[in-house]
Formats: sequence, structure tokens, C-alpha cells
Amino acid sequence: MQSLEKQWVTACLDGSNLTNDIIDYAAWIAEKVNSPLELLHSIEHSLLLANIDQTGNLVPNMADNLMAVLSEEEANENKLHIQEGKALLARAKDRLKGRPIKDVITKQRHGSLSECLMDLEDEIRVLVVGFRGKTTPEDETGISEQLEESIRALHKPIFIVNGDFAVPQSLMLAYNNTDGAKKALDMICRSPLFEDMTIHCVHAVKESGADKDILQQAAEQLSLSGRRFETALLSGDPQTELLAYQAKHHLDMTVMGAFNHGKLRSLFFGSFTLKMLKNNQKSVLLIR
Amino acid sequence: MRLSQLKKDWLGNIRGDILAGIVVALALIPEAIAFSIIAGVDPKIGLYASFAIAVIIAIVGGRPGMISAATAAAALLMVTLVKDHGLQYLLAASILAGVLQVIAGYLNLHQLISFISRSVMVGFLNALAILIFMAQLPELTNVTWHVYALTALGLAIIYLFPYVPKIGTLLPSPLVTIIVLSALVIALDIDVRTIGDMGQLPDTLPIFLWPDIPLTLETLWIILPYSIAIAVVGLLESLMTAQVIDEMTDTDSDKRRECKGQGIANIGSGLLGGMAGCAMIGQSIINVKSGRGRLSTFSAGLFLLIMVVFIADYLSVVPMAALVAIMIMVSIGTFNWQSLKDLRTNPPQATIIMLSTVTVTVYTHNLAFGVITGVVLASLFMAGRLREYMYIDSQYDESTQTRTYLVIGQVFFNSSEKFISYFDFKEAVDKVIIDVHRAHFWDISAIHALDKVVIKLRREGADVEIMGLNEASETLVDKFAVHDKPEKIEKVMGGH
Repeated sequence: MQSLEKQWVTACLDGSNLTNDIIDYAAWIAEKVNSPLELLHSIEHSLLLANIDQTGNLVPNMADNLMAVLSEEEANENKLHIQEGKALLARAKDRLKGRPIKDVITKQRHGSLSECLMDLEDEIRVLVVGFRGKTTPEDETGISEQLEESIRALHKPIFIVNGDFAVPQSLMLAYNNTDGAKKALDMICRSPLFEDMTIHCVHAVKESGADKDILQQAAEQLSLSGRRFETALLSGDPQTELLAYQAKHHLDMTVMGAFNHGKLRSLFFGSFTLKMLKNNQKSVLLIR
Repeated sequence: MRLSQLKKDWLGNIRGDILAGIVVALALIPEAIAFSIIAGVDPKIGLYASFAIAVIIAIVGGRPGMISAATAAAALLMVTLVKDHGLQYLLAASILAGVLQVIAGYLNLHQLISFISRSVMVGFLNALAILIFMAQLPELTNVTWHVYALTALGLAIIYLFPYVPKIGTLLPSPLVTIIVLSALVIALDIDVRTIGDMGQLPDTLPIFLWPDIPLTLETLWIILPYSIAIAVVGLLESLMTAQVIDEMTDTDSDKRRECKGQGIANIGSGLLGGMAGCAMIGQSIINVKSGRGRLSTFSAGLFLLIMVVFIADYLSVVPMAALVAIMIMVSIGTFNWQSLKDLRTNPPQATIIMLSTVTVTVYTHNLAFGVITGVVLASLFMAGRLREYMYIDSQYDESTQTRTYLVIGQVFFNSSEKFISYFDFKEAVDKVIIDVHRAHFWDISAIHALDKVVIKLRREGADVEIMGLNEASETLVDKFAVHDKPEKIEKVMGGH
């Protein structure tokens, strides 16, 4: 158990309007899987410079002087960001007061979200992030670059919060013949997180009739684990069919394997994972 | 390379990058012309080079926001090649230097930069500044008083114009110098040398051309020494500059990629009829004031070419005095003035390293020799200092007639003689114990010294026992890779 104790449910907070929901979902997961919770705030440095200097002459000791000016500017800016982050983390910690979570720690790091996550990868058990960041416009339908980068960078389960918190009662497992999906199925069977949920194990294929075996095997595994479950075989475009199924049965969240295809394929056809994320109204748990 | 990183590198700071690019391009034009004159080629060679190198390094370099172009450091190395063999051999040497730099990148030679101490780096910059200044002297000797007056006026404008309210911070003062001095020379009809007198200016876009040289072994032997020097100096200045920019922007860069990038840029420059170059510390610092992305370097190169091709006719009337003033500014800006003040407070060894680097460079006109001198001196000083960290304690136990030597510290080539001198071979004893468990034997000189001591003591009739040799010889680190293993280092260095 020792090694597990060092791993945290990690919630990434940036002050967006999903912040409270991220905290609630993360707390719910941490309670369920009996894991400590880490609240993470990353301070991203942008390339954008406030001042533009057009004097192109070299003056003596320019390097040292410029260094002093730049460090001063950045020091002030960073101090401010750290303050803001501290306040955000303190509010989050306040919200969690009295909840039966093993341990709550907060952490601040410099760098973009994906950089931070890569540095911390070893201590992350599950990552909880918001679908929209603070800088993403409200009406933006696409997936933010920051999120995509983080999903690609991190090889841990990622829970993507998309909307108000409510304890999920049911989930849709987008199942197919890939390693990611099998890993997701294993996790659902094993993890206490899914104990009280109804599992809809759904397999979507372009042409009907094929691959009934796949679902059969999944059903066997699910019944062994004692989960409440249903299976369904859909035919048609997987993305549309899966989402329609989810809407029809009012399922609270989606679980799926992520990025099973090579980079090249995603580049040309767009990633299925990203499409599913983009069009989903509910929260999604991605298994890498 | 991740797509999002690429996007950030190129488009993270568009407005600042493009404005910085224009400022840098304006500053690069006089410098490129001046460096061509140093190398002894037509101004267009340096201008094409600066365009090609800046644009290529923007794409393939490892340090976004760093400016590379034709440089004084590289130009100084080309003088005799151009004089003896002509332009085509210079182009070939530039290409070969690029190839060598790419190879250096693949061999991870960028790691060697860690041998360059602060003193060597300061010496490098000071030497470079002195050489740039000295290269202006031919323009200032045997000339009429007009040239001195114009140069002085140019310097005054460069340093005072930024204090003019409002427009002072809008226009780069070197540009103002060029415009004012050119106007003066034309208006008053002063007869002084102009850029047009120095050789051909670009009239077309650069074209792709293989250097016109015989592809023989003989050619290779002619250009190889120059290519090696250019490759080494180019990488040195580029990696040093990258370090400065890393510090200044508080970001990391890919030094290995930068080595290969410098190589590709020089190959490209040679094929487009330009000379080899490298990163420029001064210009890079000017650039990071407002530009941080790859776009700034790219637009500097592109604007340079556009401006040069369109204003080539006007460029030819610019008096050399304006160029000299700008180069004096570059020299003053490159020199590390703080290092003069530090002479009094720094340890004497640091001063010796710095001054040796400067002296050797100024004497040979080759920064590589200066840097090698500095690195060798620094290493010798370090080895000399480590020699102090060894001593031997000895005790005599009368009841057992045993002499025990306890060796503590670093035993290596430079301390092995000292190690031997601690032993008293004239003492007649039955038994000698040499306890080395707190010593570190770094090389075979150390082992050899120990062997020598043992044999000598045995000859005098003593039984010799060595204790703790296993621990001591663990430091023969050539056998192990100690790096990255804290517990191993702890084991080796424990007790210190």
C-alpha cells in the first residue's frame, strides 16, 4: 500500500467557473477510492511582453541592466499570480472542510498545465480537470489546446468535468476491442468508485452484426464483478450513436479509452477521443 | 516537436516579435556590411549571410528569440582564406563548417560548454569587443579630419538621441546616425569613403549556387582548418548566447538542436552565396527586449533582405564613418565593463584566466585559441587547488612496532608526488599499515603512486598492509558511471 499512498487524486484549479464542480468531483472520487487529494494550481508564463522597446542601440552593461529589469517585472507578476493561486487554493480547501477525505494538500507550480502534469505524473492517481479553462470563452465549443496537450501528455486516468456536480448514478462505457477500452473495463470492475452505478457497456460499429463476441466477453467480466450492468450494440457512426444512446438513457458520465490510434491517423482524421469530448454534455473519464 | 509548442514559439507574441524583428533588421544591416569588410568580401556576402542564417535558424534553431547572422567572431577567422584563395573557397569553408557543426550536434559536443567558466566567457566577450574595435582602425587612419568629425557626431547621435523626448524611443538611434551622416555628406559634398566604395551591394535576391571550386582533397586541406575554427567559434558564441538568453528569459533551450541548427544555417548561407556566421550576443539581447519567439528572428532576416534589396542604391552613399560609429557602439556594448571593476575583487586566478583568454585571442585573432587557453588554465588551477585537499596522518604504536598512515582526501595525478612525500622511508619499523578508506584514488597515477610506496617500504624491510582499498578505488570512476546516481556519489564522497 505504501506506493499507493504517495499517489493523489489531483484536481487542477484555475479559477474558471467550473472550479467548484471540479473540487466536488475530485472530493467525491477521493472519498470513494479512499485516496488523499491534491489541489494543483499552475502558473503559466506567457511569451507575450507588455513593453516593446524600439531603441536598437547597444549600451554598456545592457545585459546586466536588462536582466535586472526583466527579473523585477517577472518577480512582481509572479508574486501576484502566486497570491491569486493561494487564495484560490485556500477557498477550495475551505470548501472541503469536514469531508471525510484522507488528506488534502495544495500545490503550486510554475509552467503550463501539461508541463506541471508531466513533472508530477508519478504522484497522480486520477487527474480531475475542467473542460473549459479560465481563458476559454464561454461559447467556445472546441476543446482547449491546454486540455488536449495535457490529455496527450499524461498517461493516467483523467476525469474531465463538464457541468454541475451531481453524484453520477450511471455511466456509459464506450467499449471496443482496444487496450484502452479493456483497461477501462478492468477499472470499472475493480474500482470502488463504480460500485453503486449502473454500467451501460456499449459497443458501436459501422456495420451491424459484427463483433458480438466483444460485448459477450465484457458482459462476463462485468457479471463476475457483481456490477449492475446492461450491454448494447449500436450500428452507425460510433460518435453520434454513442452520444445519442447516452442522451436517451440519461447516463451521467462516459468512460472510454483514449488515443488508441497512432498520431499520424489522428492528424489526418481527427482524434475520435477529441470528437467525443467536444460533443459530450456530460463529464468524461479517459483511460490511457 | 509538439504542435502547440510550435504554435507558441512562432505565434506567442506576434506584435512584439515583428517589431523586434524590424529593429534588429535595421541594426543587422550596418553590422553585416561591416563584418563583410572585416572578412574582406563584398558587403552583399554578409547581407545574404545574415538573411539566410537568421531565417534558417528561426526554423531549425534550439533557442527561440536568439538572433544569428554574419558575425565578427566568424569574419575574423576568414581574412587570410579570402586573401589567399578568394570568395569561392570562403563559401565552401562556410558549408563545411556547417557540416561539422551538424556532426557536433549529433555527437552531443554541446555538453562541452560546461567546461567554459565564467572568466573564460567574460574574456571571450572582451576579446571580441577589442577585435571589433581594432577592425575599425583602418577606417580611422590616414584619413582627413572630416572622418573623425563624422564619427564623433555619429557616436554622439547614437548615445544621445534616445534622450530626445518622444521620437527618441521610437527610432533606433543607429538608424538616425546613418540618415543624418549620409544627408550631411551629400549636402556638404564632403569627400569621404562610402559603403559603395567597399564593394558590391546586393541587387537581386540571393540565388542558390554551388561554390565554384575543384572538388579535390587539396581543396579540403585548404578549407578544413578554417572550417574547424569557424565551427568551433560559431558554436561557442552561439551556446554562450543561448545561455545568456536562457537566463534572461527564464526559459530553457535545446542546445543540441541549436548546434545542428547553426550547422544547417551555415550550409544554407554558403549555398546562397553568404559567409558563415553564428549567434550574436548584442543583437539577441536587443531582440529579447521585445521579441521572444521564433517569428522575431525570422522577421529580422526577412526584413533585412527586403530593405537591402530595395534600398541598395541608397546604401552605397552611406559614409563609412557612420558604420565605424555603429561598430564602436557594438564594441562598447559587447565589452563587459563590470569585469574591469571586478579585477580588484575577483580571485587572482579568475583574473589570470580572463586576461589570458583576451590576450591570446587578440594576438591570434582567433577566439577558439583564446577559449582553449582559458579552459586549460582553469582546469590547471582547479587541479592545483584540489591538490591541497589531501593529507596523511601518521601514528606509531610502540608495543606492536607498527606505523599507521591514515590517508585523507584526493589522490590524483597532481597530488601523487605529494602523497609519496608524506611517507618516511628511512624509518625502520616492522609493520606499516596504510589506511586509505578515507581517501579517493582518482586515476592510475594515484594507484601507481601507492604501488611505489608499498614497494619502497617493503624494500626497507617492513610488512605493508593496505586497509580500505576497495572503498578508496571506487573513485576510479572511469569504471563506473557515477552520474545520476545520488547514492553512488554519496558512497564515494561520504565523509566530505
